Amino acid sequence: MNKVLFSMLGTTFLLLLLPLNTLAQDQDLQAGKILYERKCQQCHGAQGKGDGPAASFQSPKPRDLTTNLYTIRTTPSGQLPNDDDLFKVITEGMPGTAMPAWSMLSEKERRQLVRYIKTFSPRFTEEPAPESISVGEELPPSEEVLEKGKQLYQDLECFKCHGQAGRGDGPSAPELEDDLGNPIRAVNLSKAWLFRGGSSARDIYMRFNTGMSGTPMPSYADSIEPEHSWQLAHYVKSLGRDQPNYGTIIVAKRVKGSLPEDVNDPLWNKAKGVNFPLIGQVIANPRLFGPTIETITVKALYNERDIAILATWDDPSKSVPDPAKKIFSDAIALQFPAKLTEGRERPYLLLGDRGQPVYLLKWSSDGSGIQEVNAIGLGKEKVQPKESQTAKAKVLYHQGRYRMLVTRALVTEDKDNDIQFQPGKFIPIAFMAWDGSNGERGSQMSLSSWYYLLLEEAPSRRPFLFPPLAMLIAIGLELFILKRVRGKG
Amino acid sequence: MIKRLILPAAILGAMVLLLVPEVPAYQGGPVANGGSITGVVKFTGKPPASRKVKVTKDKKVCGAQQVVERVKVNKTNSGLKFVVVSLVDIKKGKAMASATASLDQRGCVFNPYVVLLDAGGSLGILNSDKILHNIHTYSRRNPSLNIAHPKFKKKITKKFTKPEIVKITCDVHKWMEGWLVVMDHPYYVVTDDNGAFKLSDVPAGTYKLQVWHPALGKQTRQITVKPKQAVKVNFKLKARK
Repeated sequence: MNKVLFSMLGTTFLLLLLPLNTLAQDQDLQAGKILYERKCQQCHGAQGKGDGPAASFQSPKPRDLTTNLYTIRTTPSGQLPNDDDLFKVITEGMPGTAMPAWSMLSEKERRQLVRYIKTFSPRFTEEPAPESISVGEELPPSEEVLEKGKQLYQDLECFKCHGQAGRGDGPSAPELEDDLGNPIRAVNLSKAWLFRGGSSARDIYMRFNTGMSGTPMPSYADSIEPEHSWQLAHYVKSLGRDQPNYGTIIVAKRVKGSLPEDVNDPLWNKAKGVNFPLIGQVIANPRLFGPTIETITVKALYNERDIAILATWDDPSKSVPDPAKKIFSDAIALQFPAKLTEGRERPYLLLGDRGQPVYLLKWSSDGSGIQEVNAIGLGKEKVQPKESQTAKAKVLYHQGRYRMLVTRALVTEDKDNDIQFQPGKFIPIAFMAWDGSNGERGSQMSLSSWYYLLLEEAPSRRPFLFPPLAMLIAIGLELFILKRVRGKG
Repeated sequence: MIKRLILPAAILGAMVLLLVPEVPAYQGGPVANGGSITGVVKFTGKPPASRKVKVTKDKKVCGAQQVVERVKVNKTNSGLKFVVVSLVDIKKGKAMASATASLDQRGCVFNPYVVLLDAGGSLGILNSDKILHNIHTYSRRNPSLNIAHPKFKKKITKKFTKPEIVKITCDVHKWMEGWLVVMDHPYYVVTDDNGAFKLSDVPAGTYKLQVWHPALGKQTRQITVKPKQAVKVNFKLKARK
């Protein structure tokens, strides 16, 4: 009798533990919900539909968590992400989007969020948790691996969307759409710091083996062996750099003789390129929330008469203006103060104002070429008269990349409207860029902050003259004193 | 004691209920004295104009221009091709026969435009073009796939378990469109060049018959099948406004 009672009690106890466990899980869920409401809802919406109040200002739009279309996974095409996939995205964020890294939350909190996010789709409870595809051990990069990866890039026709140099300029790129029918860009593979799912070889391996659900990026898992995947991953990594390596000052070196005459001139190897970030212009209406151009690289050289500036930026499409199709000109502008002032104050970033006008070197693909422009604010631009247009430009577009060489005299006659490039001065410089195929025009542009251009002064002879002279005098004095002291002794 | 056991027992009961397998929706087997349904689907009105797409890549394979014709009407008899004709609510009948179907990518077109597959069956996807294609499916019930089909890969096989009509596109060639019709019973066909169809071995009874076209939508009609007799049903579809 005792035995029966004991076993019954035991069973009851065990069965009572079950709901206790569920209760603990429910607490996690509740905590996840509170965290979601505090941290995620603004963008992803109360029901997870990606329609929070901040969603309309974003491009790409926040994920609709009810559709099961998760781009960053380690699971096969069509499968849900597993908990670790969701945890990774919450922890690391999605570079190149508004999704920040939530690593400031504790691991427990992030796990609670994962639990809650999964309640937005019934598939998470209906289906068993999917397993990550196995990647095996990483094949280290080598010359041979990169060579094979390069061949795979051709055989698998990655260039169809990503372009031959990987800059997202392939023949199929202009018509790409996501599953909701919104235009979507093929990623520029030379900018790994913007890869949504991370830039390690393993991350890249995963992306083309799992595909990116909801986007045109397919999974190659049915057609590619692990060894080949590593080769391709390393090749993709080799197409660009991992970090943006932004700088703040362009130092122009002085050269003897003539300046580079085109963008490929080997003389450019003497100059160091500096990278600057650009973001969509959101100060004035109409704004630009999804800019194409987010980096520009600039170098400069000068001689006794002229300055040559080389600007390089990626744009996946060479735009021929066609307003009927909402295609405008591609354009770039280098902005300077119209006049250098002694103080540190710089003109208003967005095309200056009446007090401090700006001077622009602006090039456009509409056939107008390079123009010298003055402005006292947005929409208050004035192209200088023909007789004062002295700047020259050469522009080359190749495989998704623009390169522009601008040359202008250091000193001009119009000292009120033209910036004078004086060596040794920190000359404020800012950049604006337009991708006409992205509907960018006017105030809808990519914009940088103010940075500096410095024309390095010719090295002075003083450092070589005065220190040795001072040393000689000191030694002479010392010897003289020593002699005097010894003489006395 | 009994009171104390109520909660655990309820939990145990719920767990057992969860473990009970889903009842299959359709039962297949031999059909004696079945009847058949035949008919023609015609298009009325002016067929929508075909769309001409200028090809900007893979011209050797895809040609310089693609003519996209989503509504295929027979010029002599107005018969409408690629209409899926199916019984909607049938629970019992002949055994399901085809467990596989084939979809080819040829000349940068999905061939056939509408492919039929029994639920649980495998779709063999071929690439006769020897250029990169991708099979991008838009599903609600089955997983939404996006599979690259590089030039060297002859065949990729994918299983579809749930009944559903799935749109298929290729992101490399935007004009490509196909439809996969997955059903969990064998009574569904697609109309031929003359818009004609036939469903055979239908057990006697009253059913809902549905016609569906990717661009023109659907129509349903109540029909009664008598043993060993053929029912004739014709449909007329017109352009959507």
